[in-house]
Amino acid sequence: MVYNSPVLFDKSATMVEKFTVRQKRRKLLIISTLPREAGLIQQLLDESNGQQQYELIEIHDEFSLKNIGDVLNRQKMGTQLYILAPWDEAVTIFTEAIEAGFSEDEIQTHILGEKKRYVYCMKCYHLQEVEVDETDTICYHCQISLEIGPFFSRERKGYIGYPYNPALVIAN
Amino acid sequence: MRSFGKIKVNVGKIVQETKFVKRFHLYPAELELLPAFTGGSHIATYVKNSDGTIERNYSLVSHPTDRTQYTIAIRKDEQSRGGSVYWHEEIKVGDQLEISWPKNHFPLAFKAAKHHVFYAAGIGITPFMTMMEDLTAQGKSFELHYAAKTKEECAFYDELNAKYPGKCHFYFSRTETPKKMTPATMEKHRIGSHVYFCGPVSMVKEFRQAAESYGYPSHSIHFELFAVADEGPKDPFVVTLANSGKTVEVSEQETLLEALLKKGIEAPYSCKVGGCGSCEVQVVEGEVDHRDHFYKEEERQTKNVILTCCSRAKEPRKELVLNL
Amino acid sequence: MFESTNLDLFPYPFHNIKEGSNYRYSNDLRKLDRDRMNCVRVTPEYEKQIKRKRQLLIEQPNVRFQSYPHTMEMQWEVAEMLMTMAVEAHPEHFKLEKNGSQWTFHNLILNEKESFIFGDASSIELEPLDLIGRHFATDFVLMVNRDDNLYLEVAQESYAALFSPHWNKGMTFDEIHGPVPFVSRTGVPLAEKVRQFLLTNVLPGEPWTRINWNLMANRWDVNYETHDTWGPTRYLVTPENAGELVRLRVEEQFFYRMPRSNAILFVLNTQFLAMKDLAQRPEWLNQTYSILSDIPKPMADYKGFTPFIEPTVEYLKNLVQKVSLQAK
Repeated sequence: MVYNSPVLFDKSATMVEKFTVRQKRRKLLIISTLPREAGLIQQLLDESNGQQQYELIEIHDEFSLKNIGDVLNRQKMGTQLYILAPWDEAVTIFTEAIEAGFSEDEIQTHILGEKKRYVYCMKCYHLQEVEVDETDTICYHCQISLEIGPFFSRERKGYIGYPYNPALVIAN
Repeated sequence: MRSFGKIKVNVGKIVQETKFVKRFHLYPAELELLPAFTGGSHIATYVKNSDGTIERNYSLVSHPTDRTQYTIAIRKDEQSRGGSVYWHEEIKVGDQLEISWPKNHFPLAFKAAKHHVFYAAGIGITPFMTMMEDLTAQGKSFELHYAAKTKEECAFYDELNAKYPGKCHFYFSRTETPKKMTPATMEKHRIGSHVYFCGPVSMVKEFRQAAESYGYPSHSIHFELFAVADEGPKDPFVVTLANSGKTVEVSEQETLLEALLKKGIEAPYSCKVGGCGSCEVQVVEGEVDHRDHFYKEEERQTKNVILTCCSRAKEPRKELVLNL
Repeated sequence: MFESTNLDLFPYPFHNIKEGSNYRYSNDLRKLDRDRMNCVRVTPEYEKQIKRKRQLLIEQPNVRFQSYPHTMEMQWEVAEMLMTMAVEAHPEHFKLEKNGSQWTFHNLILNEKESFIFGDASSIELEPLDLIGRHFATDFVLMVNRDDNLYLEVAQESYAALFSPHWNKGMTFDEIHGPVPFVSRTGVPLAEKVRQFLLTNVLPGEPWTRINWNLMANRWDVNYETHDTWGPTRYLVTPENAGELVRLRVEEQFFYRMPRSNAILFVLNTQFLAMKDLAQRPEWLNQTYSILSDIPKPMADYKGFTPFIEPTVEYLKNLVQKVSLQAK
């Protein structure tokens, strides 16, 4: 991993609603937690129609999640990775995939359930989780009001939180 | 100011590396120390002869952080435009010449690069010499595949074997048991591999196509060419410069860039083989016959631009209006 | 320190705009002429600005300087270039003694010297660019060419205009310029176009320049960290006080490609001119008034001066009248 390695966040370029085949790739590697959404995988395999080799890894428990690095590290160039998991497990798999050398172009991620979102307070540099649809929040650490901006930092792992004084907001 | 512009150097040592390859050691004439550079860098050399100045780009092969000298390795090529022949036959120890600062249009990949694989044909080895030095210093993983006619004609053979044991794979085609370097090894490279090709146009083309067919993403494929690909006839055409209203005629013997420079127009440029994008000019009107290796297909469709060092006007109009 | 007292050294931003035409975003990079390649400037405000810059660096080290541990070699390369340029531009103010790798940099204006073993970060208390950068009133941002983008790996900054080394650390050129709401004439997003231009044209030994400008209401800098304090003050400007409070903030930018790191060093020379001082150069006053009265709203929003552009233009209108009356 290097400092500018991709991280998984709600607007990651790898996020998809539906898996798609990348025509040039030779192999599909599908990593899914159980219980999985079988329809998504079947749709992908139907689209591939036997053109690509595929490998399906099912994660049953924490132990097999820990060993996911070995699976990823033995892949060859030309592999497209499909991650199908709830947020926390998806983050683990994604991070291991980046460590193994996958680029964002070689990964598609489908989150089962809610995505997580974080805001970085520009007043005190504290990172905290926020609801997906929140536009304003209060920093737990320094209590200042934060407007959640649209910019994400890989380095700070959250969206920018602009500090403001609610008493001094002037209507435009 | 002295810190910028061209650099004066003296030729301090010339070594016959193989039958066709000579190494030239260049020492700073005015600066205390030369700038350090990144692996894959080259310099432009400006040699004055009776007909004017011969400008040629050569990869640096000395260590990137050795600031006391630069070394270049030149293969004598009787078929080419005459730069290498001049260097081999006329350049002597003690000669002074000007060079550019080191430039790099062929840098190493960084993000998602777990393993670097170099494919060199003949003198195509040169940019990899410094890339391997940088990777070694950074403790990164790499391997080299290197094709030559024979061991004797394989420049840096001993040095490479001694420095990088177990990482070099040689392919000699004119021996009792000839070995051919083929793209098939690329099928086995691990995820996170980046491949780099340097050699003749046909070799680079073959390896690029193969890498794509194995499913390599385009950002994992890197290459450098010594010459512009030979893509169709060079018909004459005419360009109009929108800002000055001047017209410039480009003959079949020259490139658009050469025609512009001959007219005294300050057109930008660097690599002169359609690889770096420095000579891009906006096209106001007319259709471009793109012959570069720089733009992706979608960029050719959407951007109204031309690389003057290699691309030309498209048939049948053979006219362009440029934003110059 | 908010005011430039030598107007001959002030990088007036609209020189290249034809009289009577307006200001719009474009790729306005220019290759530097040989006699303009050196970015080291000593203005009458030098000592004041250095004092302010160092104070900010000491008070808010995390906000003002950021780097990665792997950047030491790159920082030495930049430090060497800056010291060399300083000595070449002003041998009366700066000296560099080299005794093997034992170097001493003398700043004769401040009567200071920095001694270190060149290339050995353990021989100094600050990082190399942080140390040497404190002798120059400019900001420094080192954007390293990685793959096909430029990434911010080192920044020393004391004049922020909606920028923060802490926040922008590690970002690509495109991410830093994310909010630029404009596209170029060919329809390509401007940030991408400028990045591509920088990568292919700013080559070692061939520096480039451009001038960026903004308006600032009674502030030296506006950063994200203090958004809560300066945000509301932008609404305090009136046509009466704009001459004192509002300043033309000009950022003369220099771009140097560093051969060893393959990075582009951005040197940002920020100078201020109070609106009232435009009266000293009536041609600047007239043109600035004409340009500011025709700024599209999205550009004013992006530059952050929407809250006070109206009173500022009103002030300039009155000033133009006053100056032209005096001339008669």
